[in-house]
Amino acid sequence: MLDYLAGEGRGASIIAGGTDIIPAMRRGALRPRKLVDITGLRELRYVRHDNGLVRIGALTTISQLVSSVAWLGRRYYCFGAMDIHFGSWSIRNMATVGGNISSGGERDLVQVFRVLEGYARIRSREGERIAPAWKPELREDEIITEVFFKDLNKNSWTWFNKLEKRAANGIGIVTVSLMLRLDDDGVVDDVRIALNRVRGKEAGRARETEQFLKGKRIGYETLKEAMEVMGREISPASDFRASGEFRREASKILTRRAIEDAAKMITEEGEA
Amino acid sequence: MSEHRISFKLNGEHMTVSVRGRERLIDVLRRLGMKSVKEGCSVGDCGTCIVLLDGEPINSCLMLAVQARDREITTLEGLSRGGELHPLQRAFIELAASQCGFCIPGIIMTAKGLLDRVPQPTEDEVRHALVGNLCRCTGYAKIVAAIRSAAQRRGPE
Repeated sequence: MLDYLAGEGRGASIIAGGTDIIPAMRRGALRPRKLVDITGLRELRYVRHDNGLVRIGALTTISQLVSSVAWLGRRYYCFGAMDIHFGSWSIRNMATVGGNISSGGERDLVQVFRVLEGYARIRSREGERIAPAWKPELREDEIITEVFFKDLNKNSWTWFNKLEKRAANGIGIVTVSLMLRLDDDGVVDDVRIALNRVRGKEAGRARETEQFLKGKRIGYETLKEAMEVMGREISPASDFRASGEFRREASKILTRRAIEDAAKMITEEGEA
Repeated sequence: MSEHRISFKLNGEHMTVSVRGRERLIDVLRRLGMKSVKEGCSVGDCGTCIVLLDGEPINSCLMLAVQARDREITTLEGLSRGGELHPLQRAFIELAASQCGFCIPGIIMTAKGLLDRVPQPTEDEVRHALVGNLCRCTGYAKIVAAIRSAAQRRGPE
């Protein structure tokens, strides 16, 4: 198949779950000359631990990813939250991890992999390369085969939330992804925060806010100050869904809740 | 455009059909007479095209027919047995849970997928499962009641 993509199949698009590409073709945004269906590659459907890594096959569906939390551990709440925030049940049964990463942009899993620091394994006839899962920059002869990241240890928790105009199945006005790790004394050892809009329409990490939080104990005052840092750091764009100012405030509120919840899960539950 | 001969199981029956490369599953199902499968939004938002693929609800407007090769598809037409309506169908009739009816086949297929894995769902679980099924008559109260009534008459499994 890699030979085909590099040769006769130039200009072909890959189709897996179809939930992004078929609407894009209907809109006319994509007009692939050929479609190559890869859903038969069953060996690309897995979620497994491997030498301190978590490896997720590109054709794993969102439903399968949600179910994997049962044995990956509750600290992967960021995947469990997809059951609420990622499309509808039928969409989750079709859409794939690799597809979400390939489509990129503001998509939910892309933001989650920013905080997990996930990498995409990408294959072509010329070999293999590794790229950040949030920025795979795929050429037309390449396919993503898996996403992997370092397994989170104890004292870590992840979080994902989306503010949308309906209860579910909407486009996010604001999404917040979080990975928080505390040390044994409850001090922030590591924190990663990703927003769907940091500057303009660009998704990314809130690094100044992260830096501010590192080495501090989570409490009311710390969070209040951290959210002031975030207010200065981010400048999300306005569009018909919400103004930039509203997005900034909503980002701060969701982030504060995320950190409070995650810290509570780590300390009170002795979890993960 | 390329032609492909594919086999799948439709409502319990093995069949081999000839499909075009870019024909969607919904097109082929309707061509085969499964007129319960409706085209609403065509982009996976409305749920009127939902069928079960190997027991899981999927949007047949977002899948190419060739992707259903060797899979098992169930549509509303496959629910009744020997002229006997499925408990979900009976509950929808008895509670008058259908208004214009356009969304109902998709809703019943989602509900079947749900009851097959959660025999006695709570109201929240039913509503969560139905997130991707829009009823433009907004008749959700009776739809949810009918699904729970069908679950009760089937009893816990």
